[in-house]
Parts: sequence; C-alpha cells; structure tokens
Amino acid sequence: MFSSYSGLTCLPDLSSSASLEKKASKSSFFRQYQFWLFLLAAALIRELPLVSIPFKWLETYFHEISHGIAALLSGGMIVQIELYPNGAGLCTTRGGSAFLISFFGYAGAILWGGLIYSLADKHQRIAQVFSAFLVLLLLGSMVFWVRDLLTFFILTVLLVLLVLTVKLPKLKYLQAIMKLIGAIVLLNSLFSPFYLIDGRNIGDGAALADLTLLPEILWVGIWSASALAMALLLARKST
Amino acid sequence: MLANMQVVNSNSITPTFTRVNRTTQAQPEQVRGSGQLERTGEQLEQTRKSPGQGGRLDVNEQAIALLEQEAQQQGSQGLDRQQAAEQFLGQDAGQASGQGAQLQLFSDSSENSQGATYDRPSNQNLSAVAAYQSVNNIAQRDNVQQLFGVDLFA
Repeated sequence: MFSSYSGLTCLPDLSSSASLEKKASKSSFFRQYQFWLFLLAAALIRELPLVSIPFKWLETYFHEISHGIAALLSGGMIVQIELYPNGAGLCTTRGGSAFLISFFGYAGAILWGGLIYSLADKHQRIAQVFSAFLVLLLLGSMVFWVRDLLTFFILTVLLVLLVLTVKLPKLKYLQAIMKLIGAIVLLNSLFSPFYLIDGRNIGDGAALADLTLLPEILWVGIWSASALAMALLLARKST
Repeated sequence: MLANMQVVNSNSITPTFTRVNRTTQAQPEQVRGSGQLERTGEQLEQTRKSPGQGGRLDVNEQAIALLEQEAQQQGSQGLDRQQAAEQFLGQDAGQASGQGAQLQLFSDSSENSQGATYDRPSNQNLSAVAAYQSVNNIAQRDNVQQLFGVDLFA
C-alpha cells in the first residue's frame, strides 16, 4: 500500500519530467534551426502561385524604396515610385549619387530583410513597433511618391496586410510573420540579382557597369554574396 | 501628282498588287477605287493637253488608281499604327514616331499569321527586333532622363 502510494506519487513526476524534456528538446531544435526553417518556409511560399504575390510586391517595394532612400541620403530627391503587378518596379529620382542609388536597390533589400528578421527575433514588442514603422513608411510613400493608381492599389494591399499583422491578437504570431517576411525579402534579394544576367544591358547592374567600368556580373556576385553573408549571420545569431 | 506617279517605279507596283490580291478585302477596295479611277482619268487628260509631256502617258489607269488607293491606305494605317504605338508604349509622339516602323513589323506579322503562316517572321527575327527595340528604349530612356533631369532605377 505504501509502496503503491509512493509509486503513485512518483509516476506523474517521471512522466511530466519526460514531457518537459521532450518539449525542451523540441524547443531547442526549433531555436537552433529556426532561421533555416523560416528560410525553408520562405522558399516554399515563393513557389505558391497566389500567396507569393504580395511578398513579391513587398520585396520590390523594399528594393525601390532603397533606391529612394539612397537618393535622399546622397542629397537627391524621390520623384516617383512605381510598382507593377508582375513584381517589377521603378524609382524615379532627381539628383544624388548615381552610384549609391544604383547600388542600394538590391543591397537595400538585403539590409531590409536582415533588419526585419533580426529586430523581430529580438523581442515581440520590438517586432510590433517595427511593423508599425513599416505601416507608416508605406503610408508616407503613398502620400509623397506614388502618382499612379496601380502602385496605389498595390501599396494599399500591402498596407492592409501589414495592419492586419499588427492587429493580430497574440504578439508571437506577429513576431513569426515578421520573421517570415524578413526571410522572404532576404531570399528574394539573394536570387533576384541573377535576373540581371539576361544578355541585355539594362538594370542596376548595367548602370553600375557603365558608371564603374566593372562588369555587370561582378555586381550581381557582390549582391548575391552579401545576401548569403547576411543569411549566415542571421543563422549564427539566431542559434 | 504626275511627278509622284513617275517617281514610283514598277518595282513598287508589283508587291502592291500582290498584297491586294492576297487579302480578302480586295473587292470593296476596288469598288471604292472606281471613283478615283475617273478622277485620275480626268487628270491624265489634263496632263495630256499640257505641252512636253503628252506623248509619254500610255500608263494603265487601273494600276494608277490602285497605287493611289494603296498609298492612301498605307498613310491611314501608318497613322493608326503610330497612334497604337503611342498608346502601347505610353510615350510622346516624338518618341513613338521612331518606333512606328518597328511596330508595323510586329502587327503585320500578327495579322498575316491568322491566315498564312509561311510569311510569319522566325523567332530569331522576332528576338532580333525585340533586342533592337530594347536598345531603342534605352536610348529613349536616356533622352527622357536628359530632358527632365531625372534618373530612373528599375
């Protein structure tokens, strides 16, 4: 009777500790490889026909706004930002450093991806504040630099999606979505420079080649290597 | 008018007839051309009366009428295509006039491809024209950038 009593008291302790260990090992596995898991999810989402569209628009927006920010930082101004449904974009600027503006299209997208992921990874509240900042950035872009209805529509869709994300009931979901957005932007900025290798002398790589007399392929390599370096840095930080 | 007719040589008449015969709309064009035949006949009579040129005007009046008709059609089609080119490219008229001829190549091939495939441009030719157009667009983009003092980054 006594032993059975003691057994009864011991059994739940053993099972709970086992489940705790299991949970802890699962959590540590997720914690260790979470960046790669998010990157894998991003790669899957990129291949989905409809779901990938807003993420593609978002990546293009970050690319174009990076051109614009480089123009502003180098003393120029943004005239207009245009986005197209197929994922293309155009940033019209006046003044500023042509080299910096050309370079920071792809480089800026890499920085945006890394920034979104790392800030969201730090704390749930930081993720919330940063997503609110992105909402304000989108609103500001719509007010100051959008001149056509199509771009207005695309940015409105992105704005609505971001607002819905900010208003999620649990901050951990917001944090996860922000990390996913960061991973997708980073993944896109890893692969999108390769679209410049098409034999035609157009795009940021060609512009930089004209400015610096260095071949376009070199710039494509620099951008892709930077994106890869950023991915490895985030992977190391998140473990 | 007569000077124009003398300038256009027989080499240009031959493909004109070929094209009229090939299209199914040749009959209404000929009906519409009958009025022009009378007019050209009158003009020819007037020019016969003028000294120094009367002896050489033993030309086929129907051919002249068809030639005029074709020239008018080409003129109107050229305008239409130029307008289409402007709308398609979203550029101003000055820029689009340079591309009108290129777009005609495309539209001609697409029209004929429904009826006949033997004269459809090959993929190599199409890609060559596309490549040429892209170069031209870059040049135009440079022009726009210089004109308005802005930089475009894609």
